[in-house]
Amino acid sequence: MIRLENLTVSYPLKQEPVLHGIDLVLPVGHIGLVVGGNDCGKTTLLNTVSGISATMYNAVLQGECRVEGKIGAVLQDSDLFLMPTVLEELEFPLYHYWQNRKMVEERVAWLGDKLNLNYLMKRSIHTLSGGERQRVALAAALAADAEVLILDEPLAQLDSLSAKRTAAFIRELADSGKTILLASTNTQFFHCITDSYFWLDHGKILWSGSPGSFLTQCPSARLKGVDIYEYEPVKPKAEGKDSSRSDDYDKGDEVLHYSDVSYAYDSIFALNMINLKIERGTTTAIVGENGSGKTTFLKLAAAILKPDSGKIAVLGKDISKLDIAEATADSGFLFQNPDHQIFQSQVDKELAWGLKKRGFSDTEVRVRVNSWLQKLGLEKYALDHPYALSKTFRQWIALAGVLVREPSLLLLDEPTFGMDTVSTARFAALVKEAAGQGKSIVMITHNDAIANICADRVIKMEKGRVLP
Amino acid sequence: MNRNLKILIIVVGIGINIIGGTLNSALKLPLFLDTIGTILAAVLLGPWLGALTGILSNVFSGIFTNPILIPFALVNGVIGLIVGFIALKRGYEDYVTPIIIGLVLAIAAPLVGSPIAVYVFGGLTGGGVDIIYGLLLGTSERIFTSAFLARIPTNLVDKLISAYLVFFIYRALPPQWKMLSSARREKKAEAS
Amino acid sequence: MKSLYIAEKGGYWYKLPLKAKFFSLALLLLGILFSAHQTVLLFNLLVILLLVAPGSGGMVLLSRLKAFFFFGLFIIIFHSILNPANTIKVYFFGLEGALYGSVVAMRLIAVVAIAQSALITTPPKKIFLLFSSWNKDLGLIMFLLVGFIPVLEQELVNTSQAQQTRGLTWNNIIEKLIAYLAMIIPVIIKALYRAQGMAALLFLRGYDSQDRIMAKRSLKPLWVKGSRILIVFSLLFFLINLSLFAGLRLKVW
Repeated sequence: MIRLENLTVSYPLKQEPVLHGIDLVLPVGHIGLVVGGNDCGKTTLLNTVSGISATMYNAVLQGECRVEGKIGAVLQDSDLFLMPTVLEELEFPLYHYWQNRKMVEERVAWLGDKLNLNYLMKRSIHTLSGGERQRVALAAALAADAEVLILDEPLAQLDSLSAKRTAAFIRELADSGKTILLASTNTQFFHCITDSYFWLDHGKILWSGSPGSFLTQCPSARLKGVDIYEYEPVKPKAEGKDSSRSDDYDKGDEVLHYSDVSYAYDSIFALNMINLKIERGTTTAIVGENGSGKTTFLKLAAAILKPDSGKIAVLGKDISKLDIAEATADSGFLFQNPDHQIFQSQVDKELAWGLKKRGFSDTEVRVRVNSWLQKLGLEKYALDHPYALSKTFRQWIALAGVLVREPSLLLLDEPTFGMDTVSTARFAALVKEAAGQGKSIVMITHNDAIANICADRVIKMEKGRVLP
Repeated sequence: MNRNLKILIIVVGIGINIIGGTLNSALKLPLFLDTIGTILAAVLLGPWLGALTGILSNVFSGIFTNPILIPFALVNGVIGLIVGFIALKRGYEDYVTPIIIGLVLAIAAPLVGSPIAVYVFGGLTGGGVDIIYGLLLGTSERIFTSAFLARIPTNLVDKLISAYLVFFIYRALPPQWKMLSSARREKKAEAS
Repeated sequence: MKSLYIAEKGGYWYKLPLKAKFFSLALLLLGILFSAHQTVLLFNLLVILLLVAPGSGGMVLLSRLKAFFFFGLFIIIFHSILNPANTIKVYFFGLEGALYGSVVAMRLIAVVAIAQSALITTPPKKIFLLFSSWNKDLGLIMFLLVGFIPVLEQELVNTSQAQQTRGLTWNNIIEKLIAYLAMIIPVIIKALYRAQGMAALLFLRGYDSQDRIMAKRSLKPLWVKGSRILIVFSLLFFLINLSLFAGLRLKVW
């Protein structure tokens, strides 16, 4: 069981405690879900219970934190793994029992069956997809047969089918006597399996109780970033139907033109004979399953990848002979992971760097950086190290790094990945504003809400083809 | 510091050595830049674990790519040791320390490396340094001295630039990581 | 990650238990290093090649040695021309230098043959387990690296792409050094944070440096029939070379 009484947690480099006066009791065999928006302290709470806040991050704990039983955990960043292959990863927590080969093999086989991992056992973990890795992380947490499971966003990267299966499996574990504490911004798959909710906001538990009464008693939770409702499924939209926006730009002028474009990784087609025109001044959302070629499609438009055959024109220019920097002279590309590009030690320098590389004058750089910092509400953090801020902030910084150049074409790969509803709504507003200024936007998204709100046109991709 | 974290920083140091060398050849820079990770690990972890990072780095590359790299683990280890001690004394935040480190390494690395190279390869590298080596052999009459002197120019450039690159890398690190090395310096100051 | 290991070809080096193999190869290596005279070394090299090549996939080993044969030739030619000890000259090839060069070249080839035969017949994983049996953390570092390097490589590719879309180019050496920093810094910072997460994961998965159990896994006993002959042979090889060294070089006799 887990019992927290008046627990306050603070980190050495931060003045404010991250968690204040947390009271939480979770009896054996129960599943508790900590819900809350980005940066509400969910991860710190879970890390404190699993013991790594104190041992790894030098957190200072006040109050009582008692956990009875051995702990297994999935960390927030499920891309983390230790061993080269899946099999070794699952065996690693069992090294205490390595003399008993049979027991280890049985345990690994059981995990493989339960989480559908048997076909992956020999694979290197770094070649797996996000969803597969998530399942490996869960299996590794279960391997040593812990009594208490601490799972941070355990379904984050799973598609809905395996999310449902995994949720049912988590319930099964609880019924067999495990105590399970979960955290998520999204309650969708946890609603029917959870015994109690703990709504966390700014490091305090505002409400706790049964899942059924959360909706009725806390309607304001959604405003704080908790995603309670399922969105309507995305509706494909036809080209250029939106006539509500101003028409001071040339319609019919193409911002992206793919003709017969194919691209293959190791002779497997990622894109197969794509023919597509995207009009200037429109917002296009690209949706589709993982591995359908969305990211490849977008990377081709920035000349990051070169097509095996076919021609790509961006803003009326053929980019096949240009290098990446030339091809993106008037377009901006945002990678899914903001950390790929952040390398300056201050937020404002980070924004200025891209401008300087594009040859803007010093005064112009200063003016633009300041105005965009203000616009995104980052001016308070201008002198901070980007990594001293949370991942959501770094997403905003990376986005600002692209927007600050004010390019006429924006290519965004999963810009709202991991954002809660509040941040997502803010992002949608930014996109609409940019679109209002006549910018063209092409973005990959898994978030149907964003596609519904922002996009003039939704393109669905499947197995390297664009669905009509 | 936590023992697990130390283990992982050693892993990162070795990884950076390998990746740094890869990036060096990808950019077609006329340098080696394959000891960046050792230097960084020595600054973060101190001399002894810095030396371990260097040694294991060569052992790992030796096992995976070319076993003849293994004897040269000693050079990489000495680099970690020297950088660790200098960083312990001076920190790594002023512009002078990288010069000192670069100069000391430019002497120390060939001092350890050339006897090994003379024993294993007869002092040859299979690269441009051999021309200088050959010229020096003609004048100095001593194999070891010539092999040592021939290696100094390339090492001087490479180690000075490496030390400065790590200086900029260290400056860009988030504050919590810089605390690791400053905490060690304070502990050392208290002890003495 | 790609390694030097080549899946079983049926040679006897594959069949030997790990510790016996490494023990006898270490003795052979020491024997080579203590070779007292160039003719002894030539004889030793032949013994090593005959012993090692058939047991570890033959042609594979020789093809890996090919570069070293050429480099050895280069060493001999270089020293025969430029070695300062040269006194007797045939045209401009000095005999002393040629002798010096050929000693170095033979030693190099013998050492590489021994090391390659070990690495061709042993998967890295087993070598790392041997490290673990000596020091658990050492073995762990090696295992973690095998998983970590491909992640770093992928991060380097992604970072390079991201920085180029922001306008990063490199045409001269200063720009290249700046590009080096612009790419390596994000990779290093991410690697350090990943390291922190992995350290936490080690803690959560119950890893304990002080606990000695991991070591005992799957290391078969040292003395197995067949390996005894090899170890005795290697021991003899080493002892004969050592006594020759003591006699000829140190003049003990």
